[in-house]
Amino acid sequence: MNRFYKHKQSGFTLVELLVALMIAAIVLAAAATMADALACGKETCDRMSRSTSYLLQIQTRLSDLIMRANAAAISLEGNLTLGYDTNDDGLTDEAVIVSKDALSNIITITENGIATAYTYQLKNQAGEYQNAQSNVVFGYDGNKLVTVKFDLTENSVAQTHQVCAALRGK
Amino acid sequence: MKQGRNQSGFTLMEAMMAVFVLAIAAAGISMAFAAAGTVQVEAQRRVLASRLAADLMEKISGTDYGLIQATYPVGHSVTAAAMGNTGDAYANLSCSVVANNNIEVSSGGTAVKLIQVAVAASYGTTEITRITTLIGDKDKD
Repeated sequence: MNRFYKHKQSGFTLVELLVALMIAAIVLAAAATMADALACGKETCDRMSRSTSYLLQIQTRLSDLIMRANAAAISLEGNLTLGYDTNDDGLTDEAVIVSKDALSNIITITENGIATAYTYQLKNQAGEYQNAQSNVVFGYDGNKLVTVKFDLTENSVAQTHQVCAALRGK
Repeated sequence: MKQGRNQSGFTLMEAMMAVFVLAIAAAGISMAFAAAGTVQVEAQRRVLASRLAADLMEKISGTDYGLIQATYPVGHSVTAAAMGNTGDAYANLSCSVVANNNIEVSSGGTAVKLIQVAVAASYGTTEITRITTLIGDKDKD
């Protein structure tokens, strides 16, 4: 022991090491909390901009279809049929069907026999993709106004959106 | 402290200053992220507000020409919820008719009567967007 004691030691003492470790742990915990909050914030922002873009996309598509139409009807199943007068003879020559699935979750636009489904999916809390759009309801006031109402579940909160457009075709 | 030890670590003052500088840097970074979040919320609000204004305008142009001015006078205001849009993203959003004038333009020697309608969308009392359109009597031409 004495032989070692003569050397000038310059290491850390146990207490110093423990204190340093504790401080490091606290700093790391704070950093981890902050990183988690930032990641969560990023995810929330991401979902928000996704649903906003989807909303704009579906609104642009539906408004365009409705504004060009000259007639509209709601079927017994609650689907929307839009009529177009393509050759200006005052009669309806073409039809586009805007339908919803049995669960009212997915909007499908059938134009010239080609069906395009608008599925809008978002990651849920468990990280799986699931349908974020629900409760699709088509409406027609019998005169000119056509409405499409649906819910988008964004960050576990459902927001009800309604798209309105007036028939402008002759 | 023990004699004979020649320690040369950081002093408490130095360490504290380092932590302080680090804290300011971290706060700066997190503030940038918070600002990004605010910008995102503002962007969504603007999109939803312009959608609302466009929806109200569609409702107006979907109304029979003769009834437009009586149904949608200046000051006619509807909340987002009353227009079928609910959820916290639509909180405090509303839109109102800010102009509804009869105007006449001559087209090829004949006078055409039009209604000029302006719709504004607001968040609380702050106006976000305003759209103006001319509506003609479709059944007449």
